[in-house]
Amino acid sequence: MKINKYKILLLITILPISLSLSACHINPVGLRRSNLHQGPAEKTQLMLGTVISASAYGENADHALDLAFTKVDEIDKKMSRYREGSEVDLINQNAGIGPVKVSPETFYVIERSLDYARQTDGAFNPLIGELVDLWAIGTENEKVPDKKDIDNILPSLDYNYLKLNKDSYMVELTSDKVRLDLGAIAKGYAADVMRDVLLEEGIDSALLNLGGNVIVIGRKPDGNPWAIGVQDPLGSERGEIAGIVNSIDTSVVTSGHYERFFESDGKRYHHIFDPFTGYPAEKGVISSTIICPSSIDADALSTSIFVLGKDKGLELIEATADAEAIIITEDLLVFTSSGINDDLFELRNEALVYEKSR
Amino acid sequence: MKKADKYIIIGIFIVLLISSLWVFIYKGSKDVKGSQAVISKDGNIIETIDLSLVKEPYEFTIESKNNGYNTIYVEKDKIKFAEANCPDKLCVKTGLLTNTSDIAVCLPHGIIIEIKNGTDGQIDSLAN
Repeated sequence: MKINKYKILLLITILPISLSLSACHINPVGLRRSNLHQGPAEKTQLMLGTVISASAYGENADHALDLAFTKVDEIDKKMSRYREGSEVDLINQNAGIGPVKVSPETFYVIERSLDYARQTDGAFNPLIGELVDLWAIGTENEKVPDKKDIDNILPSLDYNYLKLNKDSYMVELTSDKVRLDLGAIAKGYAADVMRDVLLEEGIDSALLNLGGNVIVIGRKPDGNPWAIGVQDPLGSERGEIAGIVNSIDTSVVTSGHYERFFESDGKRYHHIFDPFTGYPAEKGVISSTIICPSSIDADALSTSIFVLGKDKGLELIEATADAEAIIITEDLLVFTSSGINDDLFELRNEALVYEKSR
Repeated sequence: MKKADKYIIIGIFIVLLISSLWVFIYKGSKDVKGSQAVISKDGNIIETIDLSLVKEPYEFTIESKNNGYNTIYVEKDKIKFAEANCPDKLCVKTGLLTNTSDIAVCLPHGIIIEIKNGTDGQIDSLAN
């Protein structure tokens, strides 16, 4: 009789505790935490006019990250348009005067941007800097410029003013009205370089985020792909996501109309310009995400899609090896390239729907 | 019969002890690994806040060169730049940070707020 009472009491006590115990065993968060326990090497710095954060796993990770950030600093010093004495600054100072010899690295990035300008018939434009300065979006001077000022700049956006000589690494702008700006591609290039440095140092698991351009090495230490969120273009808070890209050894770059913008008379003016109109691109795209191994490609392609619109944009993606795209339009439809499946991209926002023919 | 009951009771007590210890350790580690807001200025960490432990919302101000300042607002699981006198105010426009790997930055003043180690974050990083 006495013992029975104890038994019942004990059973009542034990039941909830063992339940919590088993819950803890199957909790995936618990699994993740044990991996976090080893801890990655982490580093965050302000470079290339943005914030670059990196985490890498492995014994050599701290040293490898230091090397990678040093490389980005070198890129910044060579390719920033706003740094006096940078190679891009020298090219601009000599616009209409003569050619400038640059490092092979800067030459490569300029060459790639010219490739993309040709491939997109000028939708991607490395000479857009003057227009960017005129609108000044994201600064205290942001405003809708006079139409006449915009029209003045448009003729100088012709990429044929940019002349390259590969044998001598000479770059020339053949008109004094033209300015080179590698802003749309330099982050992507820097991401590729950082990844290469880490790989050379033997790192096999790392996550890099260069102002919203993501590139990953390998998988997470727990064996899962890296879960890269795509910013919800409709979200009012940062970090609200449209979906998740399960990423292994790839780069994920998203361009959105929410990144830098201002509103005037109820109209939104975002920071990706159509070099043919001189106004922010209005082809119905509000977010374009590119998944491909090379971040310089992803960077150029995501910008191009904004200017090209979804149809031409998807054509371009299908013609580019190893590149996939997720495009969200202003009518909240999601368009994807042929290689996107439910394993690669999980749509998480119910307000967004896939277009029917998918 | 009586002896067997005794063993059962002792056995049950041992299980009970282990499970409560387990729960205790588990809970303990969870508190340590709540989402952290790491605030850095010019590359140096100046403040680390465990957002999961914040009870009442509060604000504080970070001063930087040339009379620059940023006011930071903190509440449970959330943090943001509330106010600043930088020219572009991009830091304030970034809004509330809640998720793992979220970041807000004031380039002119060299200040970064980064969320780390959030246990409920469903993503590792954000493409935007």
